[in-house]
Amino acid sequence: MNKEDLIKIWERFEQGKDFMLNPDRAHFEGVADGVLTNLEKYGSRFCPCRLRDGTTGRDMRLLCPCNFKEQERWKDKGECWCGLFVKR
Amino acid sequence: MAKQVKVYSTPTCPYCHKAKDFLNEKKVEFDDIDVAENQEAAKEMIEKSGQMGVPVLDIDGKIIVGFDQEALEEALG
Repeated sequence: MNKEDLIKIWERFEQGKDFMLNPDRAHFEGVADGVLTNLEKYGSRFCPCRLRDGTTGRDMRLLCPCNFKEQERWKDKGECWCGLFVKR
Repeated sequence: MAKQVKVYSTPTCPYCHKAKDFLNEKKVEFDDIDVAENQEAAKEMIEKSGQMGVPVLDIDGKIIVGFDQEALEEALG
C-alpha cells in the first residue's frame, strides 16, 4: 500500500460523516507516513501517535482509522488524537 | 536557570514534530526521547502521564499531554 491508496481509504471513510480529513494536507500526509511506517514495521496500520502495549485486544484499537469518536480528545477538541480527522 | 525539558515522542507522530519545532523556535533546549524504541522511557512516560499517547512534555515536572501551545507557553514562562 502506498500513501495515495491510504489517503483514498480515508477519503472514502469520511464521506457522508460529521468529520473530515484535516484541512492541513501536510499534517494528514505526515500521519499517513507514520501509519505506513508502522504497517511496514509491524504489519498493521497502527496509529503513529499512540503506543502499542503488545496485547492484541488493545493494539487492535489503534488501527487507523480508529474509534476516535470515543476519545476525550474528540469531545474536547473535535479531532482525533493524531489530528487526522476533524469535526466538519 | 534554564528549565529541564523532556519530550517523549515517536519519530512518526506529526504533533511530536510540531511540539519540537515549537521548542526549537523558542530556542528551548530539550531531551528528545523516542518512546517507540526506548521501552524504559515509554514506561516512565506512561507513569508520568497516565496514558499512552504522544507527545508528552515534562517541563520541570509539569506534564503536558499532547501538543498544546498555550500550555507550553505557560509552562515555559
